[in-house]
Amino acid sequence: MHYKILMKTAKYSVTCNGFGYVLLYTLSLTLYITICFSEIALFISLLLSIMMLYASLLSDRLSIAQLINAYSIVGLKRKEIVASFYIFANTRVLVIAIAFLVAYPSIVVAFLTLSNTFIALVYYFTFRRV
Amino acid sequence: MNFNAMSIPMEHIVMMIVILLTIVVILLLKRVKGFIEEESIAIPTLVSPVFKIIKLMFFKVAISIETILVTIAVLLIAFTVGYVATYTYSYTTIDAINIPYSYSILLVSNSYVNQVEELLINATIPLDCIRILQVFREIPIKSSRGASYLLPLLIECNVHSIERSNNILIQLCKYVKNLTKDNVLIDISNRDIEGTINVDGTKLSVIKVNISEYLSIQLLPGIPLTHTIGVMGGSTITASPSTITVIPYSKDFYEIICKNECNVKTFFIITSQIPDGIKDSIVKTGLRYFEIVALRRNNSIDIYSRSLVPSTKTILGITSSILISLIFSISISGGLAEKVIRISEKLSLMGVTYDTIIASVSIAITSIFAILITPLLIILISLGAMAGISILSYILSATATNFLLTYKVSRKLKLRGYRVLSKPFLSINIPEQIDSEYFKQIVQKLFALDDIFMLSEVEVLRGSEGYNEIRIELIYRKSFATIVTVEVYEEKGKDVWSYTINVDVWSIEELSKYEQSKIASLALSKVQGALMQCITRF
Repeated sequence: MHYKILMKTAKYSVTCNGFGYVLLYTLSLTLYITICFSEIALFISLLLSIMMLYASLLSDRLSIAQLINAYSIVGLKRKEIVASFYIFANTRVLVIAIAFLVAYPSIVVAFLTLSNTFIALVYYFTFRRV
Repeated sequence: MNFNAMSIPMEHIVMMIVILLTIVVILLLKRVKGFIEEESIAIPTLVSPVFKIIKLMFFKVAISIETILVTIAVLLIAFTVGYVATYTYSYTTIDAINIPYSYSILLVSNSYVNQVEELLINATIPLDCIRILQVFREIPIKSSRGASYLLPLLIECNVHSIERSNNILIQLCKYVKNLTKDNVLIDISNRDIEGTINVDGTKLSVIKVNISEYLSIQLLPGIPLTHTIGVMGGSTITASPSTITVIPYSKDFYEIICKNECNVKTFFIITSQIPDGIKDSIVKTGLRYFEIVALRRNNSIDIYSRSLVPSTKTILGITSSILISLIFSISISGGLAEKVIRISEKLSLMGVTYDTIIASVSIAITSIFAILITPLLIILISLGAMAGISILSYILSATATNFLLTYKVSRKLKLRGYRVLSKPFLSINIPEQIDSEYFKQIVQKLFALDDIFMLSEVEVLRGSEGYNEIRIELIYRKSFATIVTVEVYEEKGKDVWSYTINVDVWSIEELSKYEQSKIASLALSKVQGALMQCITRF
């Protein structure tokens, strides 16, 4: 059951519009950090990546709302819905992380931590159903 | 404490005090003026409705999270590009087959440059170098044939192997080295001057040699060794060798000639071979003091100038930054369009046209970018970073983003949101009353085979006045939990029966208004079909 949810959510995340934008962003970010390499550029690209994650979630806002609706009707628990949202967002995080992995591998962990904290905030303020 | 470094200019303090005083006076006047008993009649200010719409749009667009995200992204990228940008000196390569191989590096400056040898060249490698100063100050000469003038050319030679070399400039050095302090060289073609000349009280004895062949060489195309008098039709006019006097350089003598200020052109020529490794450093150091640095290769000369151009790396960086901001704006345009559509539906009811809405959205985005360039400038100037490339990147990506956002929003508006969708509603008038039970049967039969809707419920409600009300509940098959309720009301006019069909769509899906209206019209057409089937029975 859980495996099925995981696969379905990841698949849904890939088919949504925002994933294409994330893919394009990753390509240009890889170009950007490999060419303009400096500590400031790295810090700012970290910020930009989190902003891009938010932008991609915003562009798929309706789809995510629908996903959460569908899961809650099917009878998933709140925890499982939160987990599925995490999977949805983390599919994109992993794609962006590739850019950092190519240019500067030691920052990947920091990026993952930061972005997952950000995902929690986004869920709490935008998609939480009380 | 160093007070000077911290002090604020006096004018600023005075200005601050004046501003403060003005504010205090205005506040006091307002207080002291008191209150007037009668109400002053307010004059209505005429504000253009278009301006109001633009203002409304501006706040709607400016405050949205989407625009803020895009602008922050563009700002951040512009800032980083400025920070990491690197520059190279602009240079051209010219063909040097016709230029005699007289130097390996040539440095040209339009002012007096003194003592740069140590900076330019490592002390470990002794290099041959020649310094030539073209002083643009005429030395007046009185002779038996009348008054004339001479242009001084000061030459300093640091050449170690004069004898062996057949280099044309080193040949000239041969003459200069043989001169004593009180001697000057004049070309043999000058017949006016004999014996001595008087330069500001210093008597110098003249030696006549044939130096015209050395003086007439061109160091670079358009840059001759002798003084340039002017340029005509693209070719330079040089002073004739007979008006030039070659003087060995000494600082004292230079100061005698150039007592106050005079125009001087400095040539610094390195004649000996230079290893490739230090060429770059010579170019870099040389351009700090000289305007032009020419580097001789075998059959070509690289001429470097002081103007900086961004390197390929920086241009690629700018390109990728524009790409990133474009991707941001694409992914965000959807959300922004939704917001604009929501407000434009209301505005369109008031008669605002589509073009006005798009124009005001574009103006709003443009003005946000225009306003936000100020903090970027302040940050860049305070950090002392090179602002030019950042501003270029900002303007380019802001323009691209503005164009894309406006295009996307206008396309979405055109596609769906802008049109006001009427509620699906239909009224049919017929001469006789239809049999409600028969209608129920037809509906059941019709939807049993339908692949778009599934019949959930159909019921006939009898009203108090004998009129029927038929309620049909349909489930939309292509979507998740979308229910369509169709209500058919029966009414009797004077001699016709009127049937009104109303449709409502309910969904837990996040359907857009457009999709909802399409589903509703589909359902409406189906129910109308059922009704018509009832009528044709008679």
